[in-house]
Amino acid sequence: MQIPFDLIVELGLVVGIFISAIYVAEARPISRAVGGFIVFSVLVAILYLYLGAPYLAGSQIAIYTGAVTGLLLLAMSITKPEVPEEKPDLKMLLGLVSAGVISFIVAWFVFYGYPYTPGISHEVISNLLSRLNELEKGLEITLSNYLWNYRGIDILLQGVMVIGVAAGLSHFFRREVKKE
Amino acid sequence: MTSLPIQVYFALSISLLAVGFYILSAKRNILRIILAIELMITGANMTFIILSYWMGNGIVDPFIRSIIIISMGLASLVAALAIAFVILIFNKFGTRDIRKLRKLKW
Repeated sequence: MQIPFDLIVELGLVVGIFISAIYVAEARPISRAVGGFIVFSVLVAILYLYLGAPYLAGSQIAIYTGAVTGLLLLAMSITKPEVPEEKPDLKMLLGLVSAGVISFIVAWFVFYGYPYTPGISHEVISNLLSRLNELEKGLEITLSNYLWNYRGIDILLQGVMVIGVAAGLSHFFRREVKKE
Repeated sequence: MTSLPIQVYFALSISLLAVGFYILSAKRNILRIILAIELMITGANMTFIILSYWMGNGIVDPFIRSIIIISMGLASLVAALAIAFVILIFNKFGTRDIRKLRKLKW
C-alpha cells in the first residue's frame, strides 16, 4: 500500500508545528525559544501555502519571522542578563498532553456530533444557509430557532470551559499554598 | 481538499492555545510570555483559515484572508507594545521575571 505524498507532507507539517510550539515553551535559554518560534512561523507559513493562501504565507513570514522575531532579539540584547527559569514541571507537561487529548475528543464531537446533536457537517451548514434564505422571504424560521435546536454543541463547549477554569483555579491556589 | 481530516487541524489549533496557556501560567520570563501570546494568536488565525478552507471546499474566502492579515498586523502591534514594556520594566526594576513585579499590586 502506497502512502500519498500529500498525507506525509501535511502530517509532517502538523507534527512539526506542534513540536516547535512545545520547544518554544521549554527551550532555555530564551534565545533558543526565539529560534523555535522562527521554525514555528515558517512551518505555519508553509501550511498556509499548502492550503492555497500564498498572501497569508507571505504575511506570516514578513510579520512573525521578520518583525516580531527581530523585536524579540532586540529586547533580548537590551535586557540581559538571563533570568533563571523554573525547571520543567512534569505535572504541568502531563496536564498539557491531557489537554491536547481532551481537545481532540471535543473537536471530534463537535464535528461528528454526539447523541443529541448532528455535529457540524456540510449538510448542517447548507441547511442553515437555506434557512437564512427562507428568513429573507419572511418565514418564521429564525437563526435563534436554529441555534436553539442545535444548542448541544454550545452546552458541551460551555461545560468543557467551566471544567477547565475550575481545574486551572484549583491548580493556581494549590501552587500558592505550597509556596507559603 | 486536505488529506488529513479537519479534526486534526482543529485539534492542532486548540493545542496551540493550550501550549500558550501553559506558558502563561507556568513560565516567568516576560519574553517567553510574549511568545506564548503570539502562539495563541496564530492558533486562532489557523482556526479561521482551516474552517474557511473546509467550508469553501478547498478555497479560503478572501474576506477571511483580509481578516487574518489585519489580525497578524494587530499581533505584531501587541508584540511591539509588550516589548516596549519589557524594556521599560527592565530599566526600572532590572529584571525580566514577571513575579518580581508584584510591587505593582495595590
